[in-house]
Amino acid sequence: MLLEYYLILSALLFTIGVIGVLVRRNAIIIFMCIELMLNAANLAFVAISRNLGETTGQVFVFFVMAVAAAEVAIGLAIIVSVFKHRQTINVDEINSLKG
Amino acid sequence: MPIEEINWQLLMPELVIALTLLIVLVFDLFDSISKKVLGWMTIVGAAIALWVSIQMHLDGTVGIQFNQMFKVDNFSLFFNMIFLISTILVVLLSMSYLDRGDKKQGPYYLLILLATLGMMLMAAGNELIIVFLGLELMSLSLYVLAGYFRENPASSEAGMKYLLLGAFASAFFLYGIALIYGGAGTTSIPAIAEKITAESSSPLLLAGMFLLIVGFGFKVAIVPFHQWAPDVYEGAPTTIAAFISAGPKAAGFAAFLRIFMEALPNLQGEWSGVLILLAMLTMTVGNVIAIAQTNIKRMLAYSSIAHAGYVLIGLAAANNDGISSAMLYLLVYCVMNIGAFGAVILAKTEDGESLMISDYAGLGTRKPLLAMFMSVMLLSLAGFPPTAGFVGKFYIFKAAVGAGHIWLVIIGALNTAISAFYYLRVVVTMYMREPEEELEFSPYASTLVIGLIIAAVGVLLIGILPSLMLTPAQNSVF
Repeated sequence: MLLEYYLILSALLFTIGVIGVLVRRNAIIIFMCIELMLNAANLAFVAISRNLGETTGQVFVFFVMAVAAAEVAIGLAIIVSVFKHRQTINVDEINSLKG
Repeated sequence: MPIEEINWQLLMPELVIALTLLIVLVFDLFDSISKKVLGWMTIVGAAIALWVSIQMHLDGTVGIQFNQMFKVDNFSLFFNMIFLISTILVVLLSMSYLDRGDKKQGPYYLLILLATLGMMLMAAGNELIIVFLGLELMSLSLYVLAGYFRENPASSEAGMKYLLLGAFASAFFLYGIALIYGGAGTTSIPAIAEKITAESSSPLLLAGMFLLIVGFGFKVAIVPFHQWAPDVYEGAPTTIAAFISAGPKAAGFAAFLRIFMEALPNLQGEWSGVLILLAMLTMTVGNVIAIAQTNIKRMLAYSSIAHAGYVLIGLAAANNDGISSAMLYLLVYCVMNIGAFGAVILAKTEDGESLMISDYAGLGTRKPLLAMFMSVMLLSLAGFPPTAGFVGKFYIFKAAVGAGHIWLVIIGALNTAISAFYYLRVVVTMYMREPEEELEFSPYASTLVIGLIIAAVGVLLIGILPSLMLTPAQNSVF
């Protein structure tokens, strides 16, 4: 198994996630791109862990998955409460706070 | 592997907070109990944890728990004090603030305690997993708190902005940890330090380190990762703006110090230049943009960005003096910034808070107490003697001179002069300008005044007797 391939794949996924966050305007899609970034990190953890032959990285992934789930629960709730006020979740239109 | 004996005494501050939040959670279920009691429970719990932390700090308790994961030392105990003092002050400010709109109070105190617990985990983490979990526990609670006033569109919007940018930053932080794990083969902070001495720095490690800087940069609002801060502070409930600007910033810096000084000291050649650049940029951008603000919450947001820049000077100095002065500065900053937000909460009119700086005209004669609190906090933020702000800045600059960063100190001093302009403008508006329209201010709430008195006394006490907090800070360097 070549670690490099996995790390390149994970770096690609991470970059796609970052570009998605910066380019897309729909709050839910931005959120999905953040999840992609987290999963890119998970892939790197698992690959490195397997390469080293120890389990720290794999345990880390479990924690990250739990944290990501909590983040989604809270994130969607906040996005719903914004939608109730404005009938949109386009982040360019949600701009009442400015100075 | 044998299961190690757990020394519960080492975990007392965290256990007290965890117990308090469970008690608050359960008592919130009873309708017969006045919700104000929950606020007092929170304060009592935090005060006990604070007292325990101070005792442990005085005894010099040191210990590592849970398979090298959780490290209690003077460093983490000193930061516990910062977090708990911030929590107590914020809860004191919140009690009357929440009464205004008949908001649900139970979850509010619960989330504040959860965020505090997360911060304590961050400062005590001896393993990157614990730091990450502490960071997320803190951040997730804060996202909800920022959007806590659901029926207020600005608060929801602040919650969403904080959530999207905060989660984005967490992903950077996590990827940085993954790369450091790849480069060093471990996530334990002392083990990373050993590995990096043995090998030369690999590109994986360097990339991981820069991603960590980006992640921390977002969390503590360093330029160029600061854009979320003014929007979130403006939209979030004012008490939560005070909370976000104080404890979590200190927690971010606690983990920042722990990881960079303890795990990556051998990469100092790579990171110290970056931190110097970021410190200069953060101070200058924060202070210059603050001048243009007309909304006091946004002004305080930019000022808090600038203050993160001053703390970064201490990090860039990267010696024992730098660490202890950064810790002292964070303590002082938390007290005075919460105090300044508290004065904003105190200046409440019938139709809500008066947030425009022009609304403060004539307060010096009409509301002398409020104007006095506000002036003390702003003078301290500007760094005038004999306030704590002066002491904090003095030791930061002294540490940087000791480390040979003369230019950094010159830019820091220039920035202090710039910041005096916008802080003093508010003071001048209060005392020397006549109000354009007569605003009807509401009577003071007693808990709010108690909180402000504690903050003001603290600011003046540390200003007059700096060794009171400086010596503990110097004893707390790991």
